[in-house]
Amino acid sequence: MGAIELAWKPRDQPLPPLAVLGIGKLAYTLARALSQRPELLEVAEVVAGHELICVRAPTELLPWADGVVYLGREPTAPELFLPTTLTPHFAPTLLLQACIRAGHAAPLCVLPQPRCIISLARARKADPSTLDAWLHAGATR
Amino acid sequence: MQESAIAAARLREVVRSASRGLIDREALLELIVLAAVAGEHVLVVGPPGTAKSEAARRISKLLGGRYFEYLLGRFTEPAELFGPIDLQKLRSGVIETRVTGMLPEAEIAFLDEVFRGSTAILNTLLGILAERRFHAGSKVHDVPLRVCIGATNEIPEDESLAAFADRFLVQVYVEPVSDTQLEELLAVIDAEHQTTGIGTIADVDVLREAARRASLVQIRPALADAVRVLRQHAIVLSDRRMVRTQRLLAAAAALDGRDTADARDLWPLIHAIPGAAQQQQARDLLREQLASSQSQSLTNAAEHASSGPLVRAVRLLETGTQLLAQARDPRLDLQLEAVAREIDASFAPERQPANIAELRQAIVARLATPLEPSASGG
Repeated sequence: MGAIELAWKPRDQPLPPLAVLGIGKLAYTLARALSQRPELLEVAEVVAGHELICVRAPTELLPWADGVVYLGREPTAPELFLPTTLTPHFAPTLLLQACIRAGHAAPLCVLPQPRCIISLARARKADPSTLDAWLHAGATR
Repeated sequence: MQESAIAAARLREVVRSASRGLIDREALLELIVLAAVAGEHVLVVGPPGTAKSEAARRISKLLGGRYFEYLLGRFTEPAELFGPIDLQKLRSGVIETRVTGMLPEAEIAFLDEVFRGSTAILNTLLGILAERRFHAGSKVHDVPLRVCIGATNEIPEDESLAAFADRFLVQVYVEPVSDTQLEELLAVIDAEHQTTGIGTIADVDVLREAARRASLVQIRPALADAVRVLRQHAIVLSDRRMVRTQRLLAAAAALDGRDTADARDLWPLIHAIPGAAQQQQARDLLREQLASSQSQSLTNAAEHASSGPLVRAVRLLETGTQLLAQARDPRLDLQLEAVAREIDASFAPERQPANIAELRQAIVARLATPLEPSASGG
């Protein structure tokens, strides 16, 4: 069976932001904000990769930087996190099922730009020393 | 129309002034004004110490109306609200009540623990709230009440009180201030606010007349559709509530200077739904119908009811502009970040209203400039 192009459209009502994603330089900006705010560090759950970080936290504690993407929980498929202002052209429940069948562990987030799927299944409390090591590794690349 | 516009502007200023030093109560103040213009009453449900009575007092002082306030209890006597029997007239065989300074003469009333009154009190209140008439023996008083604000910690489950509760068309649920606003609440002791002389009861009357004349032809189909959606999900408005809700929609239009209520004015329906959980469910069910909600006068109440993008944009613009006008400090920078976060999370870049995009640029520019270290450091 051939692949189906995933198209996106604006939402009429934005999702409440429950996570924030930074890619490239923004990933390090978010990581620094995380390490500098003890109240955020205490409650946030983080998943990080190569030049990518996703922070889950209560809305009012989510850090901001120019260019980050805010993610919300899709009401019809609660294990799917999507950009707060966008929705896929077809049913989010089908999108979630397709991602899981393709081997991605839920909960997960799907982005249109860049086109990627990020599993949040291993998100956990950020350990300050691990965070510092990640930041240092990024700085020396 | 000109007179209405002036009255609406003064009432906006009343709300703005009343809300200084009251944290997270702007929507409540606006709903009191909305109910007054609509000729309806407000029930405020919330735990003790959540500024319910303070909100009512402030609105009343700023409007300059005759104000009556009372805390009801199980042993409250009717005379404490409605006035004592006139003993001199009683000697002549005439039963009359002396109402001077009492509830039957009030233009704005606040009744705390409103459901605790005796059956005699509640029955008399029913007549005052519904017909604005007080029967005192042989005499019938016309009660000039514009709005009665009832407060309670929780709505009683007693069925016999349901008819009384139904007289309060607008229901507002308040919670203690959230964690993110605790610093602002603690700073309230230093805040000043004007207590008199901004608007008058006459402003309420002018807008009430404008609301009576407002056309509901455009909004009725939308209201009926919304009620059908709610009924499908077991949220039922009584026929009386549904019909009277139209007064709130007309009042919303009048406060915005319009003589026709339209889709922008559907949002007060949420506050006519009994029950906090039902109101929240209704917000979710009616998201699409409420998406075009808008109000220049009642921004916070409209946004609270509808979560609509247009009202959200007005609020963000106001907040962001105020913050940018202040001298820089780390706490303000965090608040500016919160505004930027809400802008980015609420509006896709291509859908940002022009004024919101400008505000965002100003915030980005401000936050990109490093904060100067304080002079007391080192």
